[in-house]
Amino acid sequence: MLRRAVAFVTLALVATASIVTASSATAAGPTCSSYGPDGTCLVWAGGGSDPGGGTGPTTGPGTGDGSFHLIQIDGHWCAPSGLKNPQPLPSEPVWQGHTDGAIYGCAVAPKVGPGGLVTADWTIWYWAATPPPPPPDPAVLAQQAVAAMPFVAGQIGLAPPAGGNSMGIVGMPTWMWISNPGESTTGPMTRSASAGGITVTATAVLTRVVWSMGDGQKVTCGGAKAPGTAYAASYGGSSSPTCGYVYTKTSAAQPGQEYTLTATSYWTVSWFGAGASGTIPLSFSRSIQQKVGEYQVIVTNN
Amino acid sequence: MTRTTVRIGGAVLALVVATQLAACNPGTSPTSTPTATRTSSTPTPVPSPTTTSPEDQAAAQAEEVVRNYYRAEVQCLVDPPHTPMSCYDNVAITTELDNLRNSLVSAQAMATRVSGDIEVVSVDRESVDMTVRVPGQAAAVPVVTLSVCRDVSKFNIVDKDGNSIVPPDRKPRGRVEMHVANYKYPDASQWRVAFVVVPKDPSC
Repeated sequence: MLRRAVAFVTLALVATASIVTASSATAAGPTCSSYGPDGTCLVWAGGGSDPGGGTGPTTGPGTGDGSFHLIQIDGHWCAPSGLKNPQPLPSEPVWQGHTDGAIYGCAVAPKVGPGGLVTADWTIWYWAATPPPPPPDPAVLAQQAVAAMPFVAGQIGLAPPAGGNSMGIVGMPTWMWISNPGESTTGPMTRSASAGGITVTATAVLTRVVWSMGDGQKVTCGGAKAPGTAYAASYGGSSSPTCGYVYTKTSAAQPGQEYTLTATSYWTVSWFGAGASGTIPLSFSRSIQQKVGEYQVIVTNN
Repeated sequence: MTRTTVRIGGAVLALVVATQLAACNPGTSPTSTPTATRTSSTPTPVPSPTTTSPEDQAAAQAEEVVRNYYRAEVQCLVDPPHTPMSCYDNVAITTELDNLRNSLVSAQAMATRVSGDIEVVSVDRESVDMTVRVPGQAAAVPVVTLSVCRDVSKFNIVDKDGNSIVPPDRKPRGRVEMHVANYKYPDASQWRVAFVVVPKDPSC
């Protein structure tokens, strides 16, 4: 359980008075709200970075963008930064006379800067009998967001179509595409997961579809071309503008005289939140059988 | 730069203090008193050093870091936009280190600068405890408590327009209680100001 914090022990005898909430900040710019003994400013406020107000420690709703898990100490919203190491001297006022527990840090107005570096306006030190509950792991929340995404391996579209009396023809264009395009099969897809005052947002993008044609060859259709183009009769015998292949030998030597054609969809899930970010690769596959034959030229005497 | 002369309790400290001050206070002369460690503006002769107790060594090293602390407090705020946050690493630790860093962040945010200096008028040893137990530390942490009188009348803080923003109620001279610790004792280079307290009567 958290107890009332002492933020600036250098001014221990006037510590309570020196901790001034930022609510007095003006829109004109940052102003000093607490001075050190020599006149330097220890705590500044301005720009609305620290909401201020309120009393006692509570768990906050997170920053405006939901990227940090915040608690409130002496009216200041801050992000717990863990056990201070080394611990301050036992005679420091921040201990408030306690001989148990430990001293923890809390960063006021944390921000994520270039390179993911987290900075803060200033740091509060406070005593607590037990460690504050750790904030949710953003990576775990990202996995939860991914779990909420209804991924489906896309249905394979082929021209010439697979199955029945149809077959591919050696030397003729084969078109490949995802025949049921949508959020679940070709994306993009965005989901969020929240816990403990922080939110992680994940966006999944289909980056490429790799087609294993069954004859030992692979075709990669990436980026905007990943879903392929559905064939229509109006295209005639032309090649696919996005994702196609030309067989050079029949499937006669294959088991069942068919090629096993597999489409593997590769996704990249990018996530961010709680001052962290990352990517998660995913892939889904679906296979069909495709016969590939060839035209025979029969010469007759008629 | 602070110019003081030294009157040291325990002649054994004279050599240490004389050495540490030599670089910045040429011409100072170590002295001795029978009880308290003290520096003042009154030069007094000192006998030759013989032996040095750990407590006296600690006090001398603590005083040195106090002087460095005030130099850093000024120098690290002369040009805040170009000052790294590590500027105070050699003079402070734990809460006081964060306080100093807070002051640098504040100066950067508020576009303030400082000029002049802080003069250490006197340093009085209040106590030396070589056996302080700190949670998480395997070994005892020696702590020296010093009563420091410093003069800030020449220490100015200005905003981006050059206007002084020194709090109007700041006294030109005042006393603070400085707690100096060495978390890596006996490494003499690891003395740091751990926290500073303004006493109820800060006059000096």
